Amino acid sequence: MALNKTLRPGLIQMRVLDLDQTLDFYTNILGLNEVGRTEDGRVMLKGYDEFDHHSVTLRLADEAGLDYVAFKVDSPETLESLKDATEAFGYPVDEVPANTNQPGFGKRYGFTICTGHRIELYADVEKAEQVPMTHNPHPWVEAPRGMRAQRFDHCLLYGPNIAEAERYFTEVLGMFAPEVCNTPEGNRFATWLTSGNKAHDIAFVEYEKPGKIHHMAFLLQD
Amino acid sequence: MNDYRITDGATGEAFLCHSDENLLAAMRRSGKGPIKTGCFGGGCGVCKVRISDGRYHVFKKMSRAHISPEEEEQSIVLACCVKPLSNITLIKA
Repeated sequence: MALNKTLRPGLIQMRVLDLDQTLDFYTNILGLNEVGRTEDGRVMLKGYDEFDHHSVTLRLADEAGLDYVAFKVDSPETLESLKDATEAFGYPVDEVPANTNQPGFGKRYGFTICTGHRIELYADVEKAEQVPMTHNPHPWVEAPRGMRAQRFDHCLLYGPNIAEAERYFTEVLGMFAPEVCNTPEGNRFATWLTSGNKAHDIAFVEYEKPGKIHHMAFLLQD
Repeated sequence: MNDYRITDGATGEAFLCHSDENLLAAMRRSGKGPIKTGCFGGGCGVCKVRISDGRYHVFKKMSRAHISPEEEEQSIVLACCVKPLSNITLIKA
């Protein structure tokens, strides 16, 4: 059973400058599987060991960076209550209907936090076409390539006022900051946040420019 | 494949760059030039330079967050996205 109602970061959409070259890296070196393309040409990918429809989407753009990271929550009821709590915290929330710009995903709520990043929440997502076996399972359905990345694990984001971002993730999403880093004056400089099952699900470093991403991380078996 | 001479217009320091090598890779390989390293993907903007002399080829897309179309026309480019077509003089931008 999960330790927290906010389960994990389940989906990340990134802007890339060269889709073909990036895709070659993600599929052949990292080892993710392409599950399909959206109508507007974005690529959907998932780790071989993941069950949900997809966990990474790549969008060709003129500037590289993060479009959004979406957290899976444990139920539709939690999703509604977190939407209300997010608005009460002070972030206006928009609604992305199910199965629109992310095939397989249920309704998502989205909002931009003080650091300039768009965060989304969802409860429902369809299973992928190819999922890990669950009955007398082989280690995989099809031998994965390259690093055999198991899943999208976390991301490190840069932006201003991460102390407020930390407050949002702990007070509203119920996460915990097991590790923080302060300046000599005592201001928050870096924070790592977890829903409890992982060292961190998301982390922030204080930076004057909003909306930046330092890295996204994938779990390897060894 | 041949080598071109790349000169830092600010310091006069010079180093060689292969014709099939990007300018930032040449800086990193030689340990010379105005920039030490970068993302090598055209996305971080750290290797922004202005080419004041010489011919070059932009072979990789440069993030518009760092190089506007106007800057590109003024020969302001990302060194990791550029290969030399002649000897070049550049300065950090």
